[in-house]
Amino acid sequence: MSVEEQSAGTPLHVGIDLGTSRSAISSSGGGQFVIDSFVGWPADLVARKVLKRDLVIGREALENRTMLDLHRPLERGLIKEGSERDLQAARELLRHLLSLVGAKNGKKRPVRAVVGVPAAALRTNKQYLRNALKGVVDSLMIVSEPFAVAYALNALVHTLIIDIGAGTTDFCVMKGRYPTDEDQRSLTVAGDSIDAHLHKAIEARYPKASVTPFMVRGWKEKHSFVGEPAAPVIVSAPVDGVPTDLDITSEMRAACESIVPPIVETMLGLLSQVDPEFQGRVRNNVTLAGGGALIRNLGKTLEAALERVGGGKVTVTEQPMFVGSDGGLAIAVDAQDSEWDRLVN
Amino acid sequence: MHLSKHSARLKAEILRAAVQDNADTIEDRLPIGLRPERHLLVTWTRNPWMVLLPVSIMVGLVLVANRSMASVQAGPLLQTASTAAAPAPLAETVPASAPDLALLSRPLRPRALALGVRRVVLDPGHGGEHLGTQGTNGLIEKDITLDLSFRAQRLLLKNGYEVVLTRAGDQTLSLRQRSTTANGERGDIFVSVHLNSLGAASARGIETFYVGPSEQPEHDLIAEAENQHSGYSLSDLRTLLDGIYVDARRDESKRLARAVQDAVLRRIRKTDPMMPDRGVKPAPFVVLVATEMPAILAEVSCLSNAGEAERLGRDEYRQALAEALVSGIQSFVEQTPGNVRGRKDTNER
Repeated sequence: MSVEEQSAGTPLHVGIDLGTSRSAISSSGGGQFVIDSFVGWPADLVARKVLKRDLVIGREALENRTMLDLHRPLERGLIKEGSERDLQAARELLRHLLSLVGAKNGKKRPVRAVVGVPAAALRTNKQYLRNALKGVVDSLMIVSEPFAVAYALNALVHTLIIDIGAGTTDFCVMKGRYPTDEDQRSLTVAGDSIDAHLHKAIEARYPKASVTPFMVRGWKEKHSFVGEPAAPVIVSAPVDGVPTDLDITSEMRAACESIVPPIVETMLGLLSQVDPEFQGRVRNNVTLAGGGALIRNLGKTLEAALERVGGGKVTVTEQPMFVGSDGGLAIAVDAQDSEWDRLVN
Repeated sequence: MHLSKHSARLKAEILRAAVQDNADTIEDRLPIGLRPERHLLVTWTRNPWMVLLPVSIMVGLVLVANRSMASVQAGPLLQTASTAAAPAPLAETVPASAPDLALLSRPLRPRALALGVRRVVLDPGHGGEHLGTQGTNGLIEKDITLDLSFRAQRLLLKNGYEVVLTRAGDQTLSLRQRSTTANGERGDIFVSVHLNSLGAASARGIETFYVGPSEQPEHDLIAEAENQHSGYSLSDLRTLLDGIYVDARRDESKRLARAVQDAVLRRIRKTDPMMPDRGVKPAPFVVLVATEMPAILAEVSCLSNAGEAERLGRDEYRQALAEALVSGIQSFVEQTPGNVRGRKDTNER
């Protein structure tokens, strides 16, 4: 943290990728953290005594879920509406993220946050988020997540960003302007749908195996691929109480490949709406971000699909988990004080 | 250095838009692109002639009234235009008094122009490197529009029209080249054939655009305000005449658009009763603005819709669309006084 920024009253700028599965934060103080988007309250007095706290967040919440009233406050990249507990969980998640980068409640240092949301988020969703963050951040700018990615990469003209998260896959064609609804798409086919597909397929093949959604998610994050596997995917799960090796190679491939057709269709649909003069340039500037970008061979598979329309190049960002929050931070830092004054929360 | 400056400026502009979008959300305002005043501003900024048009009509009408021209008809006015083009006698006549705003309420009836339709310019949208939109079944807009135009050409020729195609092959044409062809060939009407691409995969429908701004009462107010201290002289009569001509062209374009839209919709709904009518709309498409005759851009189908794309792959569907286009043109011509279709006399050209 710079000396200047440590002085009281100097704003702390942060970019936040509020994700369904994981949330990331990047701060002007240099901190960069990613946490699981889970918040839990001890289920009873015993649990509180064991855990020695009233609130557990992130990976720790996930690991102690049996003792917790566990909440995943985000659904498809947005705060779940209609549940006071989820709203509270979302606020706690944000507070925790901010505390990781040095922003403390009660301190005089104002927090200016840029939060990424799915491209298809409605105005009402954004207003709900804005209200939820009252008292958590001092000034708030909400932008579409793929736009934040484009900003981070300085890919603002003739590019297509595909951000594959857990709840949504977001697309944004950058045309040298702030993206409009026509430039963006959101699909609910994303990491969670792979998990659901994989879980179902494993249960069908190994009906006696005890498999939880958390185990499935872990396997996917470790072994996901499309096309040819690098090696057989062997995982361990209890079968009739006995730890047993299960070969889930074909199930993993089918689950991961289930998201490819809708992504290809949406990608080609957006490309077809680009001015024909620039379609070639956009095709050669497709960027994959988000956790889904780590699926092995996905970039090559999308490049193969682009061959149908003249070929193209798909690049996986170097830090797919942080590129969204880094973009948010860049936006936060670049915005003028006068602009932030308009966005007081 | 140049690039980084450009990049910084671009970022600043994009950021401004992002902040504005957020401010709109906070204040629960309509997005900027949907606000009526924004529409007007954008329209005026992009098309200054739209502001000049009512002003010039206004001034011209006053001048014409001062010269005791009893009726506003195109023929005589055009003759007056060429007469008035001589500079010497014009400079001395400047409207001294405030214009009679009541004259604005006198509409020019385009039919008074008594223009006939003999030569139809068909403009197959896109071509060459400009693919247009693409269907999920691989169909490309530029190929379909050319096919439809060829079919329409054959039907029009059978009906005694002269037909000019802006392209007869897979050529890359600029919009300027298209309008230059239409103007150079002195077409009587201009029909640009396109296929739509709509955001949602399920969306579809037929829509037709004609040249011109949207109807905005604010235009009259601007004209009134501007004319209080106009200082226009008779040398602006040319602008006036152009203005009236543009006005008439817009109205004729709208009538042509309506005729084509109705005909295409009627024909398609025979087999597809649920086909949405996306309407007849004014739009300042360059290709329409730059042409000198009544001009429309017909989105006769929607290639982004899988069902439509599949139908467009069928010969009989494309033929039906071409017939409907021609039927619309025919309907427009039949309602046009002074129709000279089929006359062999070409001396006027």
